[in-house]
Amino acid sequence: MTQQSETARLLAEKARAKQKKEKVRNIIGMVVLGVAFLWSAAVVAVRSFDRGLLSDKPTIRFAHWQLEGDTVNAIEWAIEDYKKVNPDVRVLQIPVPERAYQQWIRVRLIGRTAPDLIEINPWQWQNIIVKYFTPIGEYIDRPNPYNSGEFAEAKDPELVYPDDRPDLEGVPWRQTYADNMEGSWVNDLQDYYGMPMSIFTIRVFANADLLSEATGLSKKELRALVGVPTAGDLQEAAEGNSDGTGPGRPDFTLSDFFAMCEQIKQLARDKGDEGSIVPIAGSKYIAQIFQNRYFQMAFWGLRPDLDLDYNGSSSTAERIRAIFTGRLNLETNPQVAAAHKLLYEISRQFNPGFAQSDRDLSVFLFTQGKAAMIATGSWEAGTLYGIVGGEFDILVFDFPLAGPDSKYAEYIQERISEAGLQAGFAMGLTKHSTHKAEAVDFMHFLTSRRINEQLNKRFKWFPAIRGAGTVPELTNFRPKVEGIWKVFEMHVGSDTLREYEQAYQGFIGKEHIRSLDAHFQQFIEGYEKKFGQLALSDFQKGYRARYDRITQMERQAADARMRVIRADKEIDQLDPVLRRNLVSLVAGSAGAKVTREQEQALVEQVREQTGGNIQKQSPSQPEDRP
Amino acid sequence: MTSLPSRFQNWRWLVLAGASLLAAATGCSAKDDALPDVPPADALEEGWELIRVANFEDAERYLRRALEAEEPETLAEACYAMGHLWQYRIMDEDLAQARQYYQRVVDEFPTSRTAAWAMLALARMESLPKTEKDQDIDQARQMYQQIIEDYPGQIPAHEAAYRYAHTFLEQAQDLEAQQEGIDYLLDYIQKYPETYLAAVMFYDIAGVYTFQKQWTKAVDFYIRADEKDQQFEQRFGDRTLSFNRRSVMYFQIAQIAEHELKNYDLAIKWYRRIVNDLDRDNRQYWARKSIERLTGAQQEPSDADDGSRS
Repeated sequence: MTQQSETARLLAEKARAKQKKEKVRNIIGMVVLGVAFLWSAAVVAVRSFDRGLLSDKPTIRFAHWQLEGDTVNAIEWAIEDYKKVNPDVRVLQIPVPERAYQQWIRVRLIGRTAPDLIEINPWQWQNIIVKYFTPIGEYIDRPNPYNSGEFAEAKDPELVYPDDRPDLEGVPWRQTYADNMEGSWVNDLQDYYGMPMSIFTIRVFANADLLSEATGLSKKELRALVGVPTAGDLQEAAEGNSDGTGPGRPDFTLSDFFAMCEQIKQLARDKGDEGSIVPIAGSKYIAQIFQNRYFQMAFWGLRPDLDLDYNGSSSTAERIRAIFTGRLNLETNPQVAAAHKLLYEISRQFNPGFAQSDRDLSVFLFTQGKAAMIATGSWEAGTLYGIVGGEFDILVFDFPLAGPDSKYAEYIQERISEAGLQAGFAMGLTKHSTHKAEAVDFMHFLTSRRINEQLNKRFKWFPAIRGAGTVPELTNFRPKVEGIWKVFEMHVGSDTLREYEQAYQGFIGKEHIRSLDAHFQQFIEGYEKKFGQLALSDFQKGYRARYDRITQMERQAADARMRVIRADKEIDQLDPVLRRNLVSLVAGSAGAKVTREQEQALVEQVREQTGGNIQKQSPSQPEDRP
Repeated sequence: MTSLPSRFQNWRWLVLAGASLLAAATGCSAKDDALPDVPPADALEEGWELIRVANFEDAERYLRRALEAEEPETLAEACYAMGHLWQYRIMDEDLAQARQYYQRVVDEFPTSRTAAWAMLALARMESLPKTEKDQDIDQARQMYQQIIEDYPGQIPAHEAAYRYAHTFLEQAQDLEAQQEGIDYLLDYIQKYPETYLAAVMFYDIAGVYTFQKQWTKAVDFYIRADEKDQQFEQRFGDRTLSFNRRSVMYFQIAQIAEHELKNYDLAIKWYRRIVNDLDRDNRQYWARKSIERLTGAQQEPSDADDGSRS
């Protein structure tokens, strides 16, 4: 019994000790947890205080995906400058990597925790925009207050200014933009949504050191050759005598360009490693840039055979009619041949296997000095200049045209016009923003001429505002209004596009051929056969898709009508934007239906005339209009 | 201290946990069907706003509340809004319901300000249904005509007239039908010269003549469209033809004048309009080149220009 009670006592003591131990352990755990919580709360509080989130001041959150070059620092600079004129508003920049961007903003938009200003793509994100963004139509016809005399800027001696530098005081915000904010107009939603900050063009970037070594020309001579403005040009521009883009150098031709490429190859051979340096950093993306440019130039001459209604472009039905009736014989047409042969020759200047390479590899090749040139958009300029640093000098020039001695002289005569170019890096105003007025005010500030040119100077991009200056090395990015536009595509729908792309990649990707003529002939005959088999059914698919688009336009027209009903006014008392939208949408859907039926009628006529088979001989009569 | 699983062996905890789960599940799954507690007119207002941002679920709740309105205008508009909601509810349209609501406006509130719009919506459902197979053009035409007769000179009547004519213009293979549409539009413009759709009506007539290769008439109507558009701008301070439409139209006039009518003065005049009026249009450069070419060779125009037909 005694032994039993002793055992029980010992067990009880052991249990008590264990309990005590557990209690102590729990207390320690709780204390650690409490300290951790307090520490976290303190950190959050301090950071929030630093960012102003705890103050009464409104905070504008500004999210974007432009992490290239010095963009983030440049925006931070603008925020600091804004604080000086608006100390009662805080602005918080949120840079988000491009790959995660869409998912990141979607989550926040759905949760209604999105920033006030978000970079958007007005042309592709319509489903998101309609739900979560505020149209800015009501703001854009009022002047930007930061363009007034009080904020008017002095010219920056480091920048080059265009001739056309109007006074922007009192000018409606929309008209202060070089593109009149056309890039912000979302047609399906019939309103403006984006507040853009920069304009982007596509040019050739070249490694001046490498080109100098390969060609034996000094950098000064090279600049003169490719048309980079000299100090004299810039001086003239500063005095208002030219736009600072230099003489344009029409004598820098495709032949010079190819000769330069050969010299680069020779340099690589001289260094004992043929593959160590290539003339152009290539990838599928870069190849498309060259294709878009030179195809449009070469195809311009096809317009008279295509454009039945003289509207300056070719519809799907017009292209089908031209090819099926033999008016445009793909196998023998000189423009089609020239475009493809030129692209084949350009592709030979790329690194081998370019078709399987991505854009990052081309940037890597160029910045590492392993490729002498790269064709890309000005949005890449900050990155390229940033990575290259002082390693070598970069020249920027436009795509060369054919000189009179060139085999392409007849076809590559005019550049593509950049007159209608639309501004990018557009910020959208979110619907659930609680500080809309402050957010718009901040955008006014960023897009005032003084700030916009200083921001873009730091971005190394081209400013979106009229008359803003730009850094000298980027003057060749200035949009060129002189030129032609797109009139022809090799496909008429998704099936013909797929077949064409497959055949085209095979065509330009083949390294070793016996003769370019024979190689082209084989490619184009194969494609024309496929075109003959697929084009009419491809058209029919598009015909149905166009009906869907018309019904979608009706949805928008109904939305405009709904607002007319709500306004309960006559047309002459309606808000101008609403009136314009109603007319535009109603006329748009009705006109689109007529056009669609006319295209169908034209294709039916072609089908009857040709039996659905491509005719090889051009019709004897010069005109073959419906 | 007992471990967590042993706690759950305790029935009281189990009951509490079960109750919480049940409450959570009920709360999560419960659909908030209650109608908003706001006056019907306010509910209608909010319902429209929600349709605009494509929040159809909440819009429906608000419009159901608006349907309880006693005031006839509000009730008629609530019916119209419901029709609109069901017609354009993305991924979940119910055209039969839409039709019923529109019809209710027409039948029960024929004098309301929404009635003409409801009739227009019904007519449009006949002439442009989800699939072309369901199209009933005759029925649509009758309804358009009814609107034109019942609401002369009003906004929905102008739109009905435009749509009515288009049911003929769309028949691209039938010249007579197209002419009927053109005649109808011309009569209508004569009757209502101030209609805000006059410029686009002339523009569409010109488009039909372009397709028919009646070049003189095409150019004439494009010019009339521009004149009407300018008159509209003088009255209201803005154009009815979009920038894009105008730039294409000016280019067409100049090109047809040059290549078909061989009227080089007219061509130069319209190339100049592109240069002077259409700032930042990419046709400006080509227009300037054409002026230079035509001015230099006006005595003996060259056919070597790229616009000539092979």
